[in-house]
Amino acid sequence: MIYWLIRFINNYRQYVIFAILILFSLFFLSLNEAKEISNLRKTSFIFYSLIDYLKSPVDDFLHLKNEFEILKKENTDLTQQLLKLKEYEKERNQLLELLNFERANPIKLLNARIILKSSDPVRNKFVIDKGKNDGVKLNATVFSYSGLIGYVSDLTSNYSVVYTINNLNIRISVKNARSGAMGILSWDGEKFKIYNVSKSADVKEGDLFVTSDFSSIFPAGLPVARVTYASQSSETLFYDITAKSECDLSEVKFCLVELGDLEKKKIKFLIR
Amino acid sequence: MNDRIIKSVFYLSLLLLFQLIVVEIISFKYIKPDVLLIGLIYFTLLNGQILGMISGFSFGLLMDILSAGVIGSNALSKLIATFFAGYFSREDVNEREIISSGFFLILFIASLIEKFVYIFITSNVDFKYLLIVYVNYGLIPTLATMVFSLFMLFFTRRSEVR
Repeated sequence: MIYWLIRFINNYRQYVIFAILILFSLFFLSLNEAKEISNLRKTSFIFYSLIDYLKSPVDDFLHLKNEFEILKKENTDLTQQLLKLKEYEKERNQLLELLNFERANPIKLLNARIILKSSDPVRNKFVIDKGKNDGVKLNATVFSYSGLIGYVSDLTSNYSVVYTINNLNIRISVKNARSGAMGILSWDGEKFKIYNVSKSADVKEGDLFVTSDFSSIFPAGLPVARVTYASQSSETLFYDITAKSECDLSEVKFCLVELGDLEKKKIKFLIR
Repeated sequence: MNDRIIKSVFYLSLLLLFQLIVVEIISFKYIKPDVLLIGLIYFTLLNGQILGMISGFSFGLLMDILSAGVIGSNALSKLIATFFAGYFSREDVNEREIISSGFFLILFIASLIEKFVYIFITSNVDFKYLLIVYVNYGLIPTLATMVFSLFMLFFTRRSEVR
């Protein structure tokens, strides 16, 4: 028996080794959620800091003028929005006083620079130059002034990995900002699709979808995507909707990270 | 033989670093060459299927760890790619003959297989969008890898002439 086994292994050693290595790979794949593995993953941050070190001077030199123009435009847009918001805040405070509601605390935000954008079918990610030392927490929402970018999936003292919304495995609960129609946003590898929006709902091209109250990661009301195509012609009970991300993920260079504790906010919301 | 393997492992380590640092910086959207795979296929054709598979698995695993990816995904996909490439390795082949004995075709097919396995095991993509995903994350990076392998060949030849 042993002789036969040795002969078999000797004759088919490449297949035996192949099978053993496949089993090892499957074993590692099954371990992905383990804490030890996620700690092991943090070794990658060495490379991110190296990339940051190598890339920053070149980037600064090449894109300074371009970035200045983008920031100038952002600044103008934000000033306009701020003026509008100040008006709204006045109105809101008056209404809250009238209704005797509790005033919510403002969200604490942190400005961060995107130092790396990596494309991968499952884990499209950005690396930002802020980490634990700056108060960033796991699962913190990351967005730009124009819309949602993603959430913090991994972090060390000085850097964080942000999984962007254009990932095949992410599903986001969204609602139409105009009509309130609910749906699920996902990315099909090329564009954003919004599923489960009933044909009886009101959806038009150009409508903005924002995060809904049902999202387990993101706070409600953040702009996510704008409808570019909406059709009722499919044979299902739902719309066929294609959307474009509000935030241009390929162009964005800076982002905002929410520093508040989302869990506490959710619990507070549920209690209320 | 041992010298050649040690030299190859050193070059593969350099390619891994290049993939993790330089390719991450120069890649644009879906255009992301896999220089490590070029090295692994070359190594497999030069050193045989078994050594190729072991290096494919080891460097794939290292890449998973160092790139914050799904641990085991690159290990498995690169293992299968090198297993395939191993069928075309010959004992008597030298470094010059590899390029002229269908290296680019083997690399092209191995890269397509590698990307297919990677996408298949790491994403729960809807079947009707599989083709789009496979073109964007399989075919385009494979073509980028092919272009990069031509550059590598060009520079290798130039350094040989010097």
